[in-house]
Amino acid sequence: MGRDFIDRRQSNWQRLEEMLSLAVRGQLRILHREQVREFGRLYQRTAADFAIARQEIRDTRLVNYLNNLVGRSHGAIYRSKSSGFKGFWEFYRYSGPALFRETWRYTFAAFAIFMILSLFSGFWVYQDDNFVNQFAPGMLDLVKNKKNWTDRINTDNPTMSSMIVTNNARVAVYSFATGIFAGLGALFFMALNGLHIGGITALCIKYKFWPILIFMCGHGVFELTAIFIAGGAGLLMGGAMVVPGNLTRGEALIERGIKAVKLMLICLPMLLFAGIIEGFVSPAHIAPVYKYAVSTATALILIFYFSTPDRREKPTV
Amino acid sequence: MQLDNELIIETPEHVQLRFALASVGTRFLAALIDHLLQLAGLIVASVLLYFISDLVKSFTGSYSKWVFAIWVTLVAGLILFVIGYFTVFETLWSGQTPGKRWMKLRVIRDDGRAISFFEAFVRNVLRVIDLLPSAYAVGVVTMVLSNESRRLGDYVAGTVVVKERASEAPTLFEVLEHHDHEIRTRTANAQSSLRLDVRQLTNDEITAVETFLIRRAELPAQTRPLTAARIAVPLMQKLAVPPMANYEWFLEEVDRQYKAKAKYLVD
Repeated sequence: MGRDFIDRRQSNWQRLEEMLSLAVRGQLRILHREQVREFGRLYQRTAADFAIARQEIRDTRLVNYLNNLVGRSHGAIYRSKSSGFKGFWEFYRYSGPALFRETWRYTFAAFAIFMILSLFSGFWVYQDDNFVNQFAPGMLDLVKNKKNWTDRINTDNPTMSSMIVTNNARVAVYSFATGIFAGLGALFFMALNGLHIGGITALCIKYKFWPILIFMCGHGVFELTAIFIAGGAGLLMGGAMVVPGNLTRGEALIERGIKAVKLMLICLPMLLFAGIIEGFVSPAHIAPVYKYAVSTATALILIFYFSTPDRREKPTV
Repeated sequence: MQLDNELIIETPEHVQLRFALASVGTRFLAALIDHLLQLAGLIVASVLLYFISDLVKSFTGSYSKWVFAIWVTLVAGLILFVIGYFTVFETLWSGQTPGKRWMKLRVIRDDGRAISFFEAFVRNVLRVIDLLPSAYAVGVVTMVLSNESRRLGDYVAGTVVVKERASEAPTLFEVLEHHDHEIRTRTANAQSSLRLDVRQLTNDEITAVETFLIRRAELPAQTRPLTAARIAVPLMQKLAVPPMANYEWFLEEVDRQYKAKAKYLVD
């Protein structure tokens, strides 16, 4: 009886195999409309045959064969929407800003931690110069002697620029990825950055050493915003571990992890531009007004970008 | 009864698909191959850039800062290069990298679909954590604790790594040949007067009977009757059949009568 069944259905299975090998090579696109319909029908029939074979023929080899055939067809038929160039454009143009507005609280939390630590550090450094040695040894002498250490970038702008980009990207990736430990890693990186920048800024103000501050303002807007977003992404993911809401921890981690990674994708071009500015514009010997102009322009770009209305036809997030 | 860890996916047609999950060992080997390829790629790129910078010098008279900058980017941003390698391959080869292809593994989404750019990116950015403190220690620990051997990156991306059984699965021809051979070896036939109430049997019991019947030709002559007895005696008690000496015949009869109650094999 099992043999009758196999004999009756095997031509279907063979036909499905043929179409599958076509479809896998050309991703369904090279099939004609009629062929696509036939492919779908054959898949459904074979899926049903598979269920019957497993229940009633119970030949392990046949079940294995059909499992493989149905599995591969399932993979060819049920695909996620392809994320080609249009998907990329849509993401950066519309869903990115919308996602930023949706998760701004996390970015703000990262910013707040940074600010608190930087005020703390700035306050102490202003009271006592030696505090800066705790986290940035050697900096005190440079500022006291008014040595502009950022000037050495001018010796080799392209290399320094690329090192700055990779270093910043690494910091961003680590702040994000270590966020999975209940957000602690992200907190640490935000705090560390706050400590450094707050301390050095206070030191420069105290000794009236302006070139460093002017140096920072050019690329700082992009760079710091990107770092805050990355830290916020880390907190978003870590938050899933602490307060998963109505979901299980695993489900919450997946849902917010995907969002967090999308936030990271927004950061990467920002870090790239920040690195280029830091390597070429910030250390350049030009009137400070140009650097202020870059700073203002980047801030305006960010404001316009993140307030882009969500014009997607239908939500894809 | 299962040997491999399996991922069971129910398709929209309500059919269960089974995927064999990749083991920690094979995945580790695949990662090793990939990392060696990355190392090789880095060395080749360095040598190439060295020649390019020499070439630039012969034309312009000085070394190019730009070529040096590219090299520094590659080395300083090694972790970004690693992330990029895995992401690009897994996106383009729908879930495979050279190492995974070699070890016959594939990354799929946990609903059975092919992965897209986002999933590939997520699971590989989190590789940074799975690598810690060295040699994928975090990843291996999470995989051992997980039912579906997932590392952290797999959890966040919602992916699993499965064995690609395309080459292992039999062809239709092999299936048919084997099926016929199976039928011919049976001695039980419909004229038997033994009536068994096979509905009492559990799925595991009937699977044991079937597995024995399929594999019995491969068993050594001494252990074959013993194994048959160990399976048959409890079933005889359960089905309230008077003890009989021909265990294999009894097992064949159980199998035949179980299959005879099939309802869906005829259209």
